[in-house]
Amino acid sequence: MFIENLNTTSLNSINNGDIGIPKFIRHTAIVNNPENLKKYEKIIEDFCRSSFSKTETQNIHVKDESTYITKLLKWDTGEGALITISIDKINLTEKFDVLIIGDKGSIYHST
Amino acid sequence: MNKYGVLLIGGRRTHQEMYAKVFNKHPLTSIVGIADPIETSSFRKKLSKKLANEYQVPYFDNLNSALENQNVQIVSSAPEVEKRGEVALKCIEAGKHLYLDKPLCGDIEEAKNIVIAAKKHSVKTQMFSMVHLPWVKKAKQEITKNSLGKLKALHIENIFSKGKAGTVPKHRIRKEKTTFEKWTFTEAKREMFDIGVYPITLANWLTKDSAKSVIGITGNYIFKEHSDVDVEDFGSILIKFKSGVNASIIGGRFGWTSHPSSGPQKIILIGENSTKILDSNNPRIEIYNNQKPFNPPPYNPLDPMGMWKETSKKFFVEPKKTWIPIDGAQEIAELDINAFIDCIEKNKLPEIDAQMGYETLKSIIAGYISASKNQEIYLSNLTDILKI
Repeated sequence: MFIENLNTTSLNSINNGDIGIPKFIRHTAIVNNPENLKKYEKIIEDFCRSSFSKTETQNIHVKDESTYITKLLKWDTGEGALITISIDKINLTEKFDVLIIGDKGSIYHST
Repeated sequence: MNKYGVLLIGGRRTHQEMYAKVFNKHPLTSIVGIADPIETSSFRKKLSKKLANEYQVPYFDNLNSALENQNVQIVSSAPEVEKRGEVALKCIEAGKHLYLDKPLCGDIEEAKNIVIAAKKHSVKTQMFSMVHLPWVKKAKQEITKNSLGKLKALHIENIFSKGKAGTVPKHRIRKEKTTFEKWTFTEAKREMFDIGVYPITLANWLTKDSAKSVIGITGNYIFKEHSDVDVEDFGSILIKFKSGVNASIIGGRFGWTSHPSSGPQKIILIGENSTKILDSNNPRIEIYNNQKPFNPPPYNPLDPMGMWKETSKKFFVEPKKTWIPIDGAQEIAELDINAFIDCIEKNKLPEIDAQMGYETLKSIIAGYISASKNQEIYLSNLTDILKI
């Protein structure tokens, strides 16, 4: 799956030290299938945990069951993540828009 | 002299640098002087005098007497944040239309008093914002056209790419505070306040709604300068609006070389049928050539974050040339001030008036309290929380 390749490539870059210490992730996924809402939510959350090498201490969400979910994750060591997955019922294409902020640089992806 | 005389408050090393340029150019306005409140530091007064010399207008070190001038119809106000509430009230009570630097001020009660006074004295107020930028207007049009279906949620981010990254002490974990004594520092600013004000204002404007509650997070991710004065360089807030729409915002600053242009600026609209991403840097052309890549300026102790226009060659900031938006350069202050003058001329309500500035400030302050207490903050309880 594209999202898995995207996350693996990003994680390799983080582990290479390309952006210094990762601090914040904003990960937006636009999906074309309602089933992928939950599935991608878990994939992206796991990606954030892998990026910061630990589990979050707070996980807050707002959502509209049939349209989107937004999650704000906080780590007790200061890191944060903002995850949004929404469904596009018109264009039926998958899109990703990602910003990963490290103390020395950033990673971007826009599908 | 043109139709409206403009008094500027604040000088070099403030946004007044760019506001002055526009008021000087506008066919209906003339700058008639620059003033500061009498208790302003000699450092700031010197910077205001510099701007006055640049425009060859008189400098008044006593705002009260400058406001007595009947040739002043508009005040462009950009004093230190700590003085904004008091200064705005003086200008409004003197019957002047007021163009306000963002954020409105640093105190909820003072902001409320500005709103009340502006209504009482029937003057126009406008706070500097991004709402008149063409790419931002497109977002408004998408909502108005209902092209995505009913708006359910939105995300807005604005991060400035200026300053030397990677200088924050390792393992720095800053605990957010619930008190707000100082906003203005020479070397740093509170970035969720100072930059976060843009996306929060946009969220309020796009939704035409008021925030019900917020959940915030702040971080010291990048810069030693922010860490040294115990303020954040990054913030993110989840806003729950009264209508049920939710917004997330990011406001902050990262390094000169962390972005190919001035930093990410995006609006993501989530409707019940579709999602749309609007990007200030898109559409664009990208240029890769044999010229030297962008080289950040040397460390400037008076402005390490590159906030102000630099006249010294030593600290001159080269423009970044890799990404060029194809919509062309968008002069944000010119668009914003033109809209303000138009509102005065046509007796229209500015899009972002003091009331909007007040609403935005409440969400920012609540965001800090939320980050500090690790809990959702309801804006209806904000005044009581601040009293404790």
